[in-house]
Amino acid sequence: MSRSVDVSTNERAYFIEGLKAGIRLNGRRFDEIRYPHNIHLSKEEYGYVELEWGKNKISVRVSSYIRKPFEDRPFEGIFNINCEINSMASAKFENGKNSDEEVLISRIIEKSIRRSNSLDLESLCIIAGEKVWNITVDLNFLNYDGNFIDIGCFGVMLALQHFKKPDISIINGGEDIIVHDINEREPQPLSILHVPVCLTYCFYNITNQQEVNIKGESTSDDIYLLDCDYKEDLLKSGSIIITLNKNREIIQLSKNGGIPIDASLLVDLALGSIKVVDELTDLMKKLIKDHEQQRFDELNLKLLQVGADR
Amino acid sequence: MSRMELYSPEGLRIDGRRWNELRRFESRINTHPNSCDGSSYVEQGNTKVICMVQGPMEPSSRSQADSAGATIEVNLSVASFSTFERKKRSKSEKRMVEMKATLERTFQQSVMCHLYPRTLISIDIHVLAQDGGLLASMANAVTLALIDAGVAMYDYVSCISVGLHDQTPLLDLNGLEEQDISTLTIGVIGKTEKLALLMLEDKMPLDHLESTLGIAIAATHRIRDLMDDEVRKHGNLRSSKLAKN
Amino acid sequence: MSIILPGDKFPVSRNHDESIDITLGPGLYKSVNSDTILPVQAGIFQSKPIKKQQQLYYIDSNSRRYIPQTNDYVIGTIVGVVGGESYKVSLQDFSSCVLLSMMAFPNATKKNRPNLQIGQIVYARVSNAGNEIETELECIDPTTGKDGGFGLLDESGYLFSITNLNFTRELLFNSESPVLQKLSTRCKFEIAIGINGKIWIKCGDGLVINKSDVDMDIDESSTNNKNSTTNISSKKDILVTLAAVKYLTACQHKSPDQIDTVLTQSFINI
Repeated sequence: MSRSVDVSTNERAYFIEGLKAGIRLNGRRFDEIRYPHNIHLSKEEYGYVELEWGKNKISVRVSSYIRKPFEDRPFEGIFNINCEINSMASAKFENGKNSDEEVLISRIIEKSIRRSNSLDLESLCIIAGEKVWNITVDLNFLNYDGNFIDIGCFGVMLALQHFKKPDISIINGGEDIIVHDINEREPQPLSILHVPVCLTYCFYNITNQQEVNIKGESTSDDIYLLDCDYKEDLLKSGSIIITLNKNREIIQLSKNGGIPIDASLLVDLALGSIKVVDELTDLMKKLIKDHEQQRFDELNLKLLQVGADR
Repeated sequence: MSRMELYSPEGLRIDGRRWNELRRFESRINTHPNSCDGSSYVEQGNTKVICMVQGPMEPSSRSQADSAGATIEVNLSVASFSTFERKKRSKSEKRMVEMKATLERTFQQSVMCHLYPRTLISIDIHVLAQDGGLLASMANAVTLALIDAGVAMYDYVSCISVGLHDQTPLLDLNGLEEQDISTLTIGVIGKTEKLALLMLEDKMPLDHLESTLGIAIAATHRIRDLMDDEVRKHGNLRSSKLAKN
Repeated sequence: MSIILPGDKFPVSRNHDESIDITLGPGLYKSVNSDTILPVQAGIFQSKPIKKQQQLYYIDSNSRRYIPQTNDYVIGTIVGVVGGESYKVSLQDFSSCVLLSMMAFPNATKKNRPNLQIGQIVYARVSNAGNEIETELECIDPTTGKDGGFGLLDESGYLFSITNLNFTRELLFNSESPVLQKLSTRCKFEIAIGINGKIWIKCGDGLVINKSDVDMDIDESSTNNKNSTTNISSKKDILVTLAAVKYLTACQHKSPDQIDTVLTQSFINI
């Protein structure tokens, strides 16, 4: 059984001619993303999210437990992201075997979120050197339709904001702790320092004159598409992944091979991405807020509120 | 962690360089003439890399034979004594796999692969010492080794890392600097502004991207010249041995 | 029309009329030892008289994986050459490839071979499918020796996949199917349906690749005006083709009375 997908010249020709005429085969604009839909934030538990993005589908689960910190970092909690890509998503991924592509996907998600310190690790410390929270995110890809990185990053960030860890009291002068049941005391949300958003741009050299491109003569012939679907991803001649946050910071940039891109184009792309990043961050914020409100109303927590609203 | 002063108010870095100074760049080509088709040795400051290229040759397995062009395979081995703390590194570490894939894909594009259909170009990289800018040094070493092997390329791929300290870009970071500030590694083709390789880890304000890229591109052009000098020196050495006619 | 599942009883009792011969189609299995007929696939039980005194029974099931059967009409992508004698053809992603002999074209001889490139697509008939040998295709009508509509499908048309294989069978065999008739009210089209789930479609003139595009850099100024005029008509055809693709892809999950709305939705911008 072959793992590769063969694209016919007909599809390629339509795609290229379409790009020349300004059409994407899926009808989107060049810089238009597929917005996430069917977002399910679990009501029963904290930190479980399912969402779709085009035909992509993922589920994210955040879990926590208490353990001893690493010896060299006694004040920091532990945070892991675990990406699971298997042939459930698409037959092109092999079970139990990590291809380079799979490693790159999980590595970039990890770099964007974990290494950029978007989760405040010091706030996960309970007793220095003794007890810290260990937060694990399990990211499962359920269906593949191109662009796992962007959707994965979005899903993980949404789930982290949805998650709440049980409240804790320290007793006996810092010797012991009590973990309060979530029904006993309102659990605590994680402290998130910033919200990274990944955006993947794919590049297409529509003139098929690679030499011209590599020697750096003309750049106007290059077309870039945001958030490619499955077919566009097969036909790409290069891609670049930009991770940004709302504070106009670049968190991660990576370009793994493919046709070279002009430095000025890169700057333009990064600046142009800000708008999409803002939209997605606001969307996440709104989803979480609505969800909180809903939970508040359903549990009738207003009854428990003491004092006037200020 | 104690905060070291990476960049003093007088404009000096911990190793005494100014912001726009490269570290000592030494390179040799054809270091292993008997064991492989092309080889090189690159030192950027205290980062030391040996690279060996075999091929283009017939691939051992049929799956590597691509009728459209050569397959490029990179093998990375990082010596356990390469860092201050002795540590065994496995090849399946995600960071290693990422660097390997990045190099493979970069050179797949920069080498004129279509000239060598159904062949394999195997690149072995040995890291002897690492002190920042590892990916950059590896890419530079691969470029030199490929030139030594006589593999057709469009132009040099020259690489450099650059960091941003507050508002000041710092060129060619060493290991201590790399730990503390965000690092951007870029690879440029020849003397253009085309980026073949790009990797940024850690945060950098968007508005400083342009200036940082600018200084990095200028530095890669300098690296290209330094590599070119070495290749030409070696070329002259060889041509002087030829009989005059 | 009734739904039948594996493990059900064969719904026709055979005792009452011995004179009728029974032909079994896909999905039904007659065990070798006993005389019982067993349904082995889930689907809709169909029966059709084919000749006098002969009745065909089969189960119309909806599978996603295509398994080649002799005499199927398929569309395949050329992915390679095997031994200089045959093309390697892919009928479906993530399935093993089949062979298309270079001799299986009209007027092909040892010296006069078809010239197909990797990536091009062909309409072909499955000439040989068995368990022990590799499946073979041919681009020739065996009764006449002519092309019979088989052969290369050119680049003016678009190729796309349908996941539900029973929908492609419906399109190909059911002449009363409203799907294509409704489409014809909107645009002029040419279509080739492979029952391996691939459809090639071209609306209007389809995609016109003008050669001047390719060497645009040489004399850009002179050809530029010409390009812009040809591109407008071509752009419209591309859009119509894509709308038709969207319509057909959506139809596979819709009931016949929903087809009209799907059609309007797909052609909303045209």
